[in-house]
Amino acid sequence: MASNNTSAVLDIVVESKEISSILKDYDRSSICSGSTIDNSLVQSPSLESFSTIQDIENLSELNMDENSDLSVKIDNPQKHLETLETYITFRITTKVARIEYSENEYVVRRRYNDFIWLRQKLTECHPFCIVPPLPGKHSLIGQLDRYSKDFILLRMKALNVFVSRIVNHPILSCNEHFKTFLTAKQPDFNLHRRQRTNSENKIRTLSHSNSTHSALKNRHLEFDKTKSYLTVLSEKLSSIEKISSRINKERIDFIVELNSYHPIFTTWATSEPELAALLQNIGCAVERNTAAQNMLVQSYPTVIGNPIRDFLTYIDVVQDTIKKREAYQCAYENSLEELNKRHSEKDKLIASSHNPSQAAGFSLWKQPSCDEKLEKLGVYIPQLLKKVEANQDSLECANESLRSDIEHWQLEKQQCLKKILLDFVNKQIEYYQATVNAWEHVTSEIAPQNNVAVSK
Amino acid sequence: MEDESPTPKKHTDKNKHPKEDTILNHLEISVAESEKRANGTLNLREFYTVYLIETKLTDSEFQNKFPKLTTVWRRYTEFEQLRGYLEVTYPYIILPPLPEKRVMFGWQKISSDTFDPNFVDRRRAGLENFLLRVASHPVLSWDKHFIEFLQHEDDWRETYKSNGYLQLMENKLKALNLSMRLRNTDPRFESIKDYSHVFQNNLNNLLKARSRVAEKQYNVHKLHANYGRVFSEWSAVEKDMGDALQKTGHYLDSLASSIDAGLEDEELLVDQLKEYLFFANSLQNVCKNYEYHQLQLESAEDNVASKNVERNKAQQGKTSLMSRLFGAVDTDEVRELKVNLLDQQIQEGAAAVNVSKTNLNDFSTKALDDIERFQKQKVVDLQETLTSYAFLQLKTAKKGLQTWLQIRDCLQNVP
Repeated sequence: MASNNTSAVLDIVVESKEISSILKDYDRSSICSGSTIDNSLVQSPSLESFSTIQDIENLSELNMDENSDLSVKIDNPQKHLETLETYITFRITTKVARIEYSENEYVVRRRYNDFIWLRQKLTECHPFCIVPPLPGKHSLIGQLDRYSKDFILLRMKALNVFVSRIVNHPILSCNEHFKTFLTAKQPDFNLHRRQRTNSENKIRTLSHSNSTHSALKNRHLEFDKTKSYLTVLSEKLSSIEKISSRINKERIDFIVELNSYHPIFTTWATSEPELAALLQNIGCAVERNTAAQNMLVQSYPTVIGNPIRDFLTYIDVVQDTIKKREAYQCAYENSLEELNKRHSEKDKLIASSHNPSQAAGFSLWKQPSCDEKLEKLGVYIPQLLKKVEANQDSLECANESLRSDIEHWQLEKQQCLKKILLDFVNKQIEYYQATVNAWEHVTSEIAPQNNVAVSK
Repeated sequence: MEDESPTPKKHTDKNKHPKEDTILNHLEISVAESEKRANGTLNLREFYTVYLIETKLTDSEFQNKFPKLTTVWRRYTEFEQLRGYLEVTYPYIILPPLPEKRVMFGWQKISSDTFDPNFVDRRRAGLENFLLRVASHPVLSWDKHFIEFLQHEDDWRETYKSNGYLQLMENKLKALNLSMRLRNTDPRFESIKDYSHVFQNNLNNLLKARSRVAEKQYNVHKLHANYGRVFSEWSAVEKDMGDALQKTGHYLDSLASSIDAGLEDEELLVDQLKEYLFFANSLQNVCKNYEYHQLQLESAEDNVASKNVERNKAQQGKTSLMSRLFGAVDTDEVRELKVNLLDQQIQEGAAAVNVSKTNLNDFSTKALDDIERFQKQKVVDLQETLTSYAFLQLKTAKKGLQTWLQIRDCLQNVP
């Protein structure tokens, strides 16, 4: 793993020239293809590279699994200054050993909007797959420094997580659009993107209109269980996030107090020659403890805050997907109800036509309309029957695909939460280890002193 | 040692340091228990706490002087009276302080109620410590009233009231409260005075900051109990992770509650630091007593000086009102009479100066002696306290580290 890391870092340095050529390519293409942006001349892209060593280390362990047949890495963000907009692109390196792919390695550059497009496409094609969430758009405050290094690195990390989740997904990773996203040269990709935009609306409106009335007649036990489980899980995770943020705030106060605490020891040491060494050491240990605690506090957003929030959006996606399934169940139930209604209507009509004596007076003028209705129903019911069957089929498909996807997701969830918790615990261990070391330094200094005193 | 024991008073007279014999070599003193008592009628009750002092004889040769085992009940105010008496009787000794009367440097967890069992027990330990300090002092330990205090519950109260020390104490306090302007000061006492202020300041700052640190540390730890709750609730809905999560919750709960014991231990060390904070006061009192003696000497000297001036004038016959008004010169007889009177006064004054001088010197040697003893004791005590503090911090940190390591082990077992 270590060698892998270093090579990942080296890549960036060595390839920086190569990338600039890719970039030129990209810019030219955007002009040639009539440009999605504008026709004016494109300013030379800034080649400011944001990649830093530490972050790449973390990323490579996420995605660069040498054994898998598909691995994707996102790095090397670059800022593009154009007349109408400024944006960031990321380099996406794909190593692949699948038949559908003609080459073994692809390098493309994509911007955040392209990721949004990809996610959109994936949700359209696989309505019952849990499509991982994207990192959010920048917040209002983030808007101010959306080109800041921290923000971009954070987004890059999140995009890596996004892509790795797709790569690990048995169905999504085989998606055609995903392949295009990873492999298409910039002009082709732009073309591809624009072609499909028209068809987008259809499915969206369908799923939207359905999801509005979701009063189901029959509860689906299994999915209901998952739903309530997810509610509990997201509740617990957000409480954990709240507690840790509260502890973090308290720690910040603690650090303030500690910062005024340790100088007292060093000040005191100046007036106590016999105790000076001990007082100095204690002051020093408190200071080191403070520094270690500060590190712990600083690591909070990356270790706990962001990962948990990211995971909460993931849970939301799962909830949404389950809701989408409900729309299908709803459609099926509605059609079934309609069918039953028609059936009973038909039965009633037949019954009334068989017993004309019951209401002789009315039957005179009602008779023809009754036959007419029966005839109509005779056509309508088989149609409905077909519809019901179709709905049932698609519902069962949805159930099946969702069931397997949730199973897959459960595994992924476990790994992800395990990682979050372990990262968190490791940070705590790091802090306590530093504190133990600091105090051990003091006590080890004391031991020989005492021995000297005893021997005297 | 044993041979000396029948005549222990020798030590109080001489300031030399032979092998220090203190009462503690022959006795064991402890404040074993405390008890809440009520005073007065039912509707006008006043509660107070009494402490049981146990004195056990460890040296059989002492038997003729002391009974084998004595127990007395004493109130805090009686300790205060004893200390007040010692303060007046031994102005040159840096008196051991009593434990705090009210809770100082408290924070949210520390109750400010003087009947709080925790507070009472810490006071009990503090009072015991006070007795041990007195009993291990080469001079104080042989004090008659102190021994009486340990032995005779009611007799002591009587003698205390009758021996007039109360009055003496008040006078002394009045004298000490006068603002003193001294012409000459002993640089040794000046530096001790300065030191005592610096020392007091440092300890004061330290204790103040410590209580704030302790409060924050307490809060941080206690907040972890919330994790414990959430984790165990969460574990209920998980299958494969459930076990690990539940254990994690337990560990976090134990982390939250571990701070109570740790801070209780820390509070004991804080009490030791508080003792030295109050010792700084005793040190300042000794300095004040020195200044009092110095003032005595200087006013005696002033007296002699002014008498000398008067005498010179009298010799020239220019002292009386008449001579100033009329320019007349006193007759020889009158002049001689006055000069003789003044000579006598000067002689008396000079004697007083000498007395003051020997008093001052006596005081200085004794006080400096005791200060030296105190400084040595202080270094040893504080070294111990600070060492314990460091080890306690290490222990707390290790406990935390261990808990998190256990949590890691738990979570790593998640498939």
